[in-house]
Amino acid sequence: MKNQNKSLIPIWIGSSILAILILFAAFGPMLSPFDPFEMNMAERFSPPGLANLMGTDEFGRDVFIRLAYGARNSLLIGFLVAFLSSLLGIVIGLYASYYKFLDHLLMRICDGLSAIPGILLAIALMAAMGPSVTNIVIALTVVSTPNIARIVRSGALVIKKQPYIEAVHTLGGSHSRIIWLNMSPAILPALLVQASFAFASAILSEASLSFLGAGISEPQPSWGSILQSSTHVIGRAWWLALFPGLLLVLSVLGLNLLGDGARDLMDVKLPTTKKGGR
Amino acid sequence: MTNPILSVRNLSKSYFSNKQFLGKKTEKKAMDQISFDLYPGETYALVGESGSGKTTTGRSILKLATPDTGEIFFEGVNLLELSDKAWRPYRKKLQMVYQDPTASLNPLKRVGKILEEPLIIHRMGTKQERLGKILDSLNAVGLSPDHLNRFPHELSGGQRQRLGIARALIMEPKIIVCDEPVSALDVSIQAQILNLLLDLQKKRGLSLFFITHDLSVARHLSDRIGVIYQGTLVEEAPTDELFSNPIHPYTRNLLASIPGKKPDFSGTGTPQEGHFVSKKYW
Amino acid sequence: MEQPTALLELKDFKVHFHASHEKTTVVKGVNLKIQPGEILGLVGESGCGKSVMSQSLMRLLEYSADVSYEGNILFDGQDILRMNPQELRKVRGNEIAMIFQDPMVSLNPVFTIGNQIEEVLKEHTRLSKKERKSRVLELLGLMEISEPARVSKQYPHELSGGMQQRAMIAIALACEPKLLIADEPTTALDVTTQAQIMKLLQKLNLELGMAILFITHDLGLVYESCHRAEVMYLGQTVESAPGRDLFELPKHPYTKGLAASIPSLTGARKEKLPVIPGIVPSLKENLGGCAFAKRCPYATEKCFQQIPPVFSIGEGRAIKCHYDIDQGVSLL
Repeated sequence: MKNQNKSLIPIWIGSSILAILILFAAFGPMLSPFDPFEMNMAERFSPPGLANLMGTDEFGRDVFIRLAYGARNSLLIGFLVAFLSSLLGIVIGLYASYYKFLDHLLMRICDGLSAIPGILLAIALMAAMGPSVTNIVIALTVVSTPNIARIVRSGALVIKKQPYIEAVHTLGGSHSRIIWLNMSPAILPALLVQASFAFASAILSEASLSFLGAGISEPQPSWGSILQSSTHVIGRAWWLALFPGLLLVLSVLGLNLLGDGARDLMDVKLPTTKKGGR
Repeated sequence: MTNPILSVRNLSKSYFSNKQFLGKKTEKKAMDQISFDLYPGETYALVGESGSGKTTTGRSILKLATPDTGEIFFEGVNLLELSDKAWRPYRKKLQMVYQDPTASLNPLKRVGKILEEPLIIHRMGTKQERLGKILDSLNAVGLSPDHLNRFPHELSGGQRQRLGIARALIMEPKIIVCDEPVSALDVSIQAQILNLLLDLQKKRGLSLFFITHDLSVARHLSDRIGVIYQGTLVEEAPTDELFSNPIHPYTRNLLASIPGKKPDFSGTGTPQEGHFVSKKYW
Repeated sequence: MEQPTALLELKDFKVHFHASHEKTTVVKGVNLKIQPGEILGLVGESGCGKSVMSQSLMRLLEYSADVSYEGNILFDGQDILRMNPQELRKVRGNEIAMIFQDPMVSLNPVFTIGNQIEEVLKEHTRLSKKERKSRVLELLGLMEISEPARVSKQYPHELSGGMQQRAMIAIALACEPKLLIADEPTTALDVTTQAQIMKLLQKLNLELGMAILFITHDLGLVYESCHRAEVMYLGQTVESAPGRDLFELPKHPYTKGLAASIPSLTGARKEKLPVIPGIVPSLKENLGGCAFAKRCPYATEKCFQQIPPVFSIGEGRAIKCHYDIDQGVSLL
């Protein structure tokens, strides 16, 4: 009796939102005749209209195209952070769950990292390394890896005790066969779900860093820095706050719907759930 | 008599638990000086209640539990002295069938892959030869080639246990440790699996170390029975002798507790040939 | 034969489960009676509907699943299926009590045993605090617990499986119910403990005159402790007989198969056990004739086409089968 009453609706909504964002990032710049860096002081703060779909900013640059370029940065950073922290997380989590001596070492490091508020840690790292997209990805990966490692580890600890893993031991399977061919597939659903949350939070963190001036710096476009530029003119240029804010909300919403939906759908198949319905 | 294929000598293992908060640690003996022999082609049933140490004993043979002291001789080698690496060749010869067929099969792998894994681990044969072996062992346990591409959850409980047995058989082991292989099954399915085990043993001359709490199952299947109580082997006898002439009070209590029709204890009251009774717990 | 009014009577009782626009009938028209002071066994393999049936007797299923009932459950002449929640609450615990397979999950881990028994007394009686305390000790004593005062102050995890089940029974018996439903109460226990609990249940039945509906998969236990027993297969009762006869002289082909497949303690060893061929069909399958026909070694054309009625064969015995196999005769 599985997947019977599971709704696919959240997954559909989530992936549609994500698809629209990707299309926006990929083809948005082509739809606009403007250049994201070209200043036009005559057109400062012109409201949304036929010429500038989402208005212009304090330097007369088209907001639509700057948001589209910003979307490229956000999605790229979000994806890379999710991917890299999943990769690191699964290695750390699996080995920590398997070898007791590594467990203490790796998990204490993770504890240490997660004791510092994520955004503070990221700001500190950015301050040390200097602002660039690569450094943002590194900083945010450091922030989100401990979470993923912890989730992989707790899942793997349960799976490690399953008789079917023990059965591979009695068949003479090597440790790496057990870890990579028998334990990791069972972790994958949980990892994918967690990765989608890491994706969402990386997008938010990038925006926050850029908002605070520690991330992508002018004149490079970023949702966070566009939001920042709206703060002192919000009374007369509401569009500068509305559109990037909307994009942020949409992207986080979409990814979370996707992750939640996938979790509900796949939890049933997680080998840790015992037979028999409740 | 022939030489035993497996000789277990003086296995002991203790656990320490501090049940009371800040209280004293209490020592619990899971195994206390357990010794027995398993002969080629024989079924030895180890019977006991939960927590008696029967599972720990079985797991020790397969290096899934490490005894504090003792020796386990197989083909003249003390298995307990071997390193992980030196152990590997012996894995082929000592196999295990588990209690819960569902939990002991990887839910994400198809039947074919589950059976192929041991062959790959021990680098046995080409892909074609491996497939031949897989089909042979499916056939031996009464499953059909149609099952190759199924997942374990698509099989019935009885079929899953057959698959578990096929996995143990595929490397042609000398000894199979069966840890309560039928206790999770319905009686009608249990009968099928018991028939299969009897049949396989007859055909292949396997030695079975059969761990169970069920005396009627032990009686049906085994040549000799050891009764284990609180980590100690309290009585060991040929099966018929144990049922007609139980001597240790615990064995008697156990026999009297089985629901249904009882055998009559018409024995002499003194141990016959091959009968061992411990003085402990009288 | 005199016919006293039954304590509990099921009349053509059916339980349907509803899930995603599909109706699955798990109990398919059961008729049975439990007399006051009787131990009735309900035997069957997993999936036969015995547990669903026992839980629906107190209407416990409606909280966790989408179910609907048909037929009647008459308890002391009142239909449980037509009771309002208040009436139902009076019956539960007070008149009918239930114990389960796993005492550890049925007991609340954060309260002492004594507390949990008192809780039931508070709910259903007007005893004073002092009276309740002494009743707790009295009940634990009744369970043959040697140190009631100590056990009443202990938490469930401090007790052994057997002691937990005793505590469970003490809670169930707090209000002296007329009927105890015991759903595989000894399956999780060791044989020696099982024997003690069964003895205790029989003693309570004798001393308190309390009827017991004993649900089990073990024909041996039915043989030892049940006055009467019903065998269930695929949501129906297929045979009813005195407990001893069921084990020694089964009549229905399914019961015969079940009894034969148990390794015996007295017969031949190391021989092939007779098995029931095939597997239990899905509950959703629409079987034209007898539910067991597909697996029955004696099945004829008729068995696949006509649903057999219940035939009475001898004193207190009935089977749902077209034939009396032992006599080789058709029952119609």
